[in-house]
Amino acid sequence: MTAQVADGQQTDSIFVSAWKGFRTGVRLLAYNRVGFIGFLVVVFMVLLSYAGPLIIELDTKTKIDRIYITPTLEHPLGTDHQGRDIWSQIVNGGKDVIYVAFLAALISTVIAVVFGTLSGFIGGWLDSAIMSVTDIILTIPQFPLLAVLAAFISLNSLTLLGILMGLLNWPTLLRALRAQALSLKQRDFIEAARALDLGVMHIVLREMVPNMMPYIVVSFALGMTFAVYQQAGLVFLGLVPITAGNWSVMIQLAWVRGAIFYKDSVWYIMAPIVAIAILQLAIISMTRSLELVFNPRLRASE
Amino acid sequence: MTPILELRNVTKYFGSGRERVTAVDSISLDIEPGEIVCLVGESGCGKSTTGRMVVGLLPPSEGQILYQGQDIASMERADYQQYRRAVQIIHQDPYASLNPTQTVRQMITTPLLRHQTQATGQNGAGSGRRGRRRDAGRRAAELLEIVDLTPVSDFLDKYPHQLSGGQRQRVSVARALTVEPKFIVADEAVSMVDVSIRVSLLNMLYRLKDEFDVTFLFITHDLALAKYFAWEGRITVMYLGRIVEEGPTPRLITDSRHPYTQALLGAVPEADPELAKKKVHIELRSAEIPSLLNLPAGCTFHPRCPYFVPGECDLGVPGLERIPDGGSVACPVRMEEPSQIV
Repeated sequence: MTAQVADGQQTDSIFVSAWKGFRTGVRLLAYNRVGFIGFLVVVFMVLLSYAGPLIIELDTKTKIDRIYITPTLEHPLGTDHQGRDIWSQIVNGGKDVIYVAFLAALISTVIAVVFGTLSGFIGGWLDSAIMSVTDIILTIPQFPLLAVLAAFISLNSLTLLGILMGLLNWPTLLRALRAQALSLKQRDFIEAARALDLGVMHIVLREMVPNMMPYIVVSFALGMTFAVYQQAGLVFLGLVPITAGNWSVMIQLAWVRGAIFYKDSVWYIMAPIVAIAILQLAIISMTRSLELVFNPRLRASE
Repeated sequence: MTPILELRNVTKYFGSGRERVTAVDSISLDIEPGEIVCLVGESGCGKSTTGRMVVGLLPPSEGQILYQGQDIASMERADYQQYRRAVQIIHQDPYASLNPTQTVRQMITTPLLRHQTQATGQNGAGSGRRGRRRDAGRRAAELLEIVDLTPVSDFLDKYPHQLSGGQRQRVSVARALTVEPKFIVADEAVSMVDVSIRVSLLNMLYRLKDEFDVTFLFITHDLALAKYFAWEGRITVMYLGRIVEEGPTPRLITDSRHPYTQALLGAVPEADPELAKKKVHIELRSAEIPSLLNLPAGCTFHPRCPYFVPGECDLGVPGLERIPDGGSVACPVRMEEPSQIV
């Protein structure tokens, strides 16, 4: 009888449970006001960068008579040194920045989660090996390394840049996750899972990782902000020969064209800087809410 | 009959050099199938370490642990896996023993799906992934019913933080039952649960003994609980890593020989004031438990023991000697003497 009742409940379709999960997620996101605003701004920035270009075309025509115009209705953020609309460049220039940062953060987080938890949980020689590699990468100064690498490999592909950054950014996160895995390993429910012979992969992926999720998600977001600055820095120094317009390229171009020297040209250099700053601030604020969403204690449906 | 579990001179050290601590010192124990054995002792006496070694979560430093006559350290892979599943542990802390990110349903169906041991899965009711899931769900509901978490539908989709301590402990038991264990180590399983819930939890555990032929190693610091749970079984008293007395529960409770056991019995509070007045209390010479880092020579109990005989107790470690009316005692001084305390 009771078994049948349980069966009946189980027939909750995937859509219903997904909808329930989504509703709970939004409720928890909204719990922290700062975090929720951050989340909304991030959503707005992503929409602007990915859907915006469909509506607002990139202005590529040189207009000699319109150089460095201050904001007007036609040009909400003024124009650049060739008389091109800055707003259209901002709208079209976010996509690549977000893409590279996301890719880099994703790769470094996956590496850190998989190897950090295995290192902590299994221990022994595997732990020593993983930690040695981590420490070696951690001691290499990354920016000079990327600069040197840029001299040998032509970093003209965004994907390549993202992958390269991802392959270098994982050590700090790995160390932190290993420490968490070491403390989780001692917990009774992990012991119980070992006694039940559930297997290493199950224990790592189903028992440990979900308990580290708040931390992992926050680290992912912080990894994204780091990658944004990293790529902006590389582009600014001219180490990455990317010519397609994006926020980092805009800053570099504005700098090279001397946009800081004229009162009217300040819009050109400030627009991409502010765009990046808003994105970063929004991502960091969003982490406050993400912590809540992935905290199992708050996840219960009602 | 071969014992289901046998400890042979099992020793466990932690640390090394000067910091080395001997948590368990050469203990031997036979447990027959269907028996209930209680391991009693103060905190830090090595009883939990023993329990964790029995389950295979800690390897012994010395000595052997035999499951059904086979040494677990040298078992074939398949045999070891069988042993692993046959011996389960119920932890003390109900707040740490369940994964906070999983629902009760997930916790119970995962081992069922992995090991496919559920009885309902064999009658052909379910085939394929979907069918197996349904079988596991049905079996999970049955298991929850066995541990008295009814109505089952109220509990299947709860997270641990939505349950009380007693309910969590029942979920722990249900989870252990998924692999149809032959042997359960209950490590202080009821000590962190509200007193009012304890008896029903104990009765539920006791029922498993008959329904599933489970053998119990019941670890507790509370002799009163041991007396209640293992009246038909045996009690083994540990002190600082060594077994000091063991024997059938009625004998050990009414006619204990080792002064430490008597001290423990004297410490059990009685609700009835008349009984409390009649109770004998032995005066210990010291209330301090010696540090494991610096154990007294000879019998480790001698600095506290009222029957201390200088020149005898502080020299040699007393071995466990059989006594005629059941069990054995590690105290040559008290062995022959009448048990009544004057």
